[in-house]
Amino acid sequence: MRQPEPVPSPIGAYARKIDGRERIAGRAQFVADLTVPRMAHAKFVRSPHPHARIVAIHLDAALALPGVFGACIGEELPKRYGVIPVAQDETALALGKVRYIGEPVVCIAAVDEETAHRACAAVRVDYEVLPPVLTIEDALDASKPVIHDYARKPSNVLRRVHQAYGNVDAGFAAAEVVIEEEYVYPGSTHAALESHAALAQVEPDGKLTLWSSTQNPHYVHRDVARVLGLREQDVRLIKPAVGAGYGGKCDPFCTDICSAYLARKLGRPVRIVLEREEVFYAHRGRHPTRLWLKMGFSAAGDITAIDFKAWADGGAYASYGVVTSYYLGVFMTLPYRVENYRFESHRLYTNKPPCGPKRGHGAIQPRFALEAHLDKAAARLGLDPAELRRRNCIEPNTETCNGLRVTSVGIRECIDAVVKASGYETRRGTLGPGRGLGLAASAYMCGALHPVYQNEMPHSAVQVKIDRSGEVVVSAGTADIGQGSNHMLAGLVAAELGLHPEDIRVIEGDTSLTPVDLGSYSSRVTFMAGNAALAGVRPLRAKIVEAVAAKLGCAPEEVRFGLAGHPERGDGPRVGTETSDVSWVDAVWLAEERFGPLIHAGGYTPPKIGSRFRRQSVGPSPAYSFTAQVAEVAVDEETGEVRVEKVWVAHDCGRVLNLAIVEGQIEGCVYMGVGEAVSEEQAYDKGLIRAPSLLEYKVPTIHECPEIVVFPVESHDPEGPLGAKEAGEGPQLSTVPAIANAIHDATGLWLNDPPFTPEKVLRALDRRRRSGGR
Amino acid sequence: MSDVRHPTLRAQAIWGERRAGGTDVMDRLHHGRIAAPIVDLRDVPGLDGVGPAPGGGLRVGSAVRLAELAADERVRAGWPALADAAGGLANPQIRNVATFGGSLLQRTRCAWFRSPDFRCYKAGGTGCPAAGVDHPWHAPLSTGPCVAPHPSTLALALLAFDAKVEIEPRGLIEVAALYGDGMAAGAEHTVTEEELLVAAILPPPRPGAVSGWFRVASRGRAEWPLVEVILHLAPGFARVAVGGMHSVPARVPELEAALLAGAPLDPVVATLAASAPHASTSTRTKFPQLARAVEIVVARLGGVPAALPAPSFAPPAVPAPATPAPRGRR
Repeated sequence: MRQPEPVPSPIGAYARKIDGRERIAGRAQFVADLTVPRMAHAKFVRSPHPHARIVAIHLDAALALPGVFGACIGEELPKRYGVIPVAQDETALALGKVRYIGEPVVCIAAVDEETAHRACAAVRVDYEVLPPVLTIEDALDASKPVIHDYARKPSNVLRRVHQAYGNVDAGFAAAEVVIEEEYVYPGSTHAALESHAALAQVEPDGKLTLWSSTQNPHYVHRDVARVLGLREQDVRLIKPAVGAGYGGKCDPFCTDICSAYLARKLGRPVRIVLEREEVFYAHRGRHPTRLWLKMGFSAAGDITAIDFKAWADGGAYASYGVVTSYYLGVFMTLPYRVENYRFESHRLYTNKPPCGPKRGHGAIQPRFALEAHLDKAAARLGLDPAELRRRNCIEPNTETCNGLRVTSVGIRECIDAVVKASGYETRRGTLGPGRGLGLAASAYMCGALHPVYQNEMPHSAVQVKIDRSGEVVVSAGTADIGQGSNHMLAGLVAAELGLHPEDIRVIEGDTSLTPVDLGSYSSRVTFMAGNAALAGVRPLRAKIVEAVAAKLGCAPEEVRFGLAGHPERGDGPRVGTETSDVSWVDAVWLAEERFGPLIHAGGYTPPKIGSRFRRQSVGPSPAYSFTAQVAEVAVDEETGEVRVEKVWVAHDCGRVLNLAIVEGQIEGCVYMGVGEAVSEEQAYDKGLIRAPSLLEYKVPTIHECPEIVVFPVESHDPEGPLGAKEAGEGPQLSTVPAIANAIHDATGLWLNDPPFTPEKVLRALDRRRRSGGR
Repeated sequence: MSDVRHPTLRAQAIWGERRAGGTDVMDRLHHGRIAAPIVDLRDVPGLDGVGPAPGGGLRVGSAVRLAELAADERVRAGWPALADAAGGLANPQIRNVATFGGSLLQRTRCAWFRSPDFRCYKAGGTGCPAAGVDHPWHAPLSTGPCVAPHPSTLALALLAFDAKVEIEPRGLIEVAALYGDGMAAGAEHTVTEEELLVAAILPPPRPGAVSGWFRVASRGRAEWPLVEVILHLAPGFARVAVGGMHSVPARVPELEAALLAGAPLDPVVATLAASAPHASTSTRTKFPQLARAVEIVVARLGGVPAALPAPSFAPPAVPAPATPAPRGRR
């Protein structure tokens, strides 16, 4: 007798992650858990000045301390690196100049962390202090010192991007209402639970192994080899369990390069684990951005033109800043139809820790401005804000004015879902003083169409190996950082083979064992590695089908996977037809006998989408996700406190592969957005981080987290793996503007500068009181 | 690891950085703000326990955990604002290990003080690098060189209840003497390395007294306040202790007088703001927040106790429970 149920498809199920249990049980091994014999611990001497020339470094006293093994300084590692080839301006240790408070200057390895600390305190560095460049205004002021003064064309403007499409002036001329305003979006940091860490060891054969807490093993691998002057093939980078990144671990860090260098220099393994305060220095968080936005609307509410400028305060090094300068502008043509669009963005250098990619990279700041603008327009035009958005929504299978090819679009379904669930249309404006509802919508990418360094190779590759034991091993260069990419790979492969995701072993993030994947950024992994996994497993599935069909004497199209097993035989899922079948292991035997080893690697290379615009190399994606959300807030007009009570969020993720992960990612996005809206800010006093601890840096606690109601919307993207797109970043884009619009509904105030802290709310109320408002 | 001593006698628990719960000391250790060996108070007898004090008051040992203090029925009944504050500050993890004495003697949270690379006035150097920077985490009413607000919430409760603290060998002293005028270099209090904070003595509850605590913060929990107040009111009697505004825990007699007179509070805070030594664009909003916070506590307490003229302002409609709701700030 068969078991009653065949193996259920894991696709769309609410399933525990295959590697969830090891994390919950504390068994996952992070870099800080790894120890190897003779391992040294290293610490950094950091700059106390935002901008200064290094005159001399005195190491003698430190090196004389018992237990100190050695040190390195910037001159030993002079090769500048960075993930973006056109903007490699960083060294692991300051070279000649320090450019922010907290920049690493010396790295010292010792027998333990305490001794390394003591040695760092014994180092004396002589500086010639330079005037710092601390603000956007400073960076644009040509009379201020240039932070990267060695460059060919020295300037504090890393990149200026200017693009124009359609006829913007004519669009404004045709507008009934034109709204022009400035916004200021604050910097914030990722606050991943695990700090940056690396452990380097020289193997007996002289090759280097580096364990790194990174989102992008491939890029770290490249840069570490380059800076150390090694062949890439002689460096093995292993990403163990990683305690999240949110974009904060996309770059190579001083931990990676100094541990690798010192391991070779000292002939012993070196581990570096950053302390929390140092994570704030490593930063790469959201760019504080000044935004100017002008939009035109017809009387009916159609967008006639958008003109937009942004100045992003990038800190002392480029990181992904060139990409930021594009992302600030390119997504403004989604999800609303606009024919006339112009933007100009600047990514600037200042004497502060470098900014980089934080969840929703570059798109968060302009989205806040645009969505706040839409509510202002709706108010001016006397339209319902939801209706204004609906009438401007783009349709599926369109191309935007700036050349973005858009396939699946679920934005209307998203807006409808949250408007209905929240009662937006009937409750908005009726909740009384101090309480309000706000709506916002957004769109985001599913990976970049073009790689960061010029090449025509696949962006993702996944190898699937099935052997006579019945074991299925999926190897991928992906980096699961807690977001669930391991489960995604296992789920897709399991679904093809009629197995449970837990039956699939995933090996990932090891540059020697797994094929290249570009990494966990730009919301690319599900789309790209997921497609590569399907490309890897499907030829093997076909071989099994053919072998089983031959054995059973049936047509290949009759062969099914995941058939119910026979408990009396004690076996698992079976392969065959309704009338005859073989066990999974037998099916694999048959296929291996017929075809030889069952190993196949699949790749994903984004489609060659020709754009009308040659310059549009950063921004295009194979697909786009869409989000709408409604926030309900309570504002205390006495104290100025803003409390986000509830958020309804609908996200078009293409197709749900694992509902638990999709919901978790969306909730995480909203949570992070709530922090940026009401309390978080990476602020500086004269270049010193004001809140260098998780006590003072105000991520929301569980008490500030609103109730979050998630509506997954499935638009089934034609090119996504089984139709899937992304869920890890896009949902954050519309959280802050939804809250801002809700604050307006509650108080009548338009607040253009998050975080909406008590003193800002009170100041705005006070301004209104003095100008005779309510 | 730094040198740690574990004395078992009170007389030995001197000369060093005293550690009780360690929530502040261990944090400062990272930042090079621990100069002396650590003297762990774990095995030192006589510092724990909540119990009666002569004359009907209450003695709270300096090693009592904040969570114990918050849950103690005697404290809840007689000195409710102290219990509320102890149960509302920080987060559960910290409240379970941090001690009453540690809360009173913790160091400033200012980033300049906490950074290992700077030696501000409070770190034994000179001057205040934070002065002149505009943000709401400064104390506009600071009179000393340091512009950081004093971090202790429980010190406000002691001020509001006219408590005394027991310092060995100095004896029983006023809370004001524990903190001095805020001008002390290198410390936020006056307890020397040869002294030990043993307990606080709360006088017996006044007839008809009520008390309450409220804070304005940019994060509901696990946070130091922008502004906070502890009110202790009885017929003909008012104490208003204010946090977030001064570099030492302080009462604001002007607000006490206004409450007793039933006078509006806004003119009082406006006068304070006008003469505030460190007022800036951002800290100016703390003054109206202060007035609102006092009004909110008065409203929660059901108004200023009878036998006093009713306040002239309309208490805001904040029908909030005295204990924090499971979610939300009030």
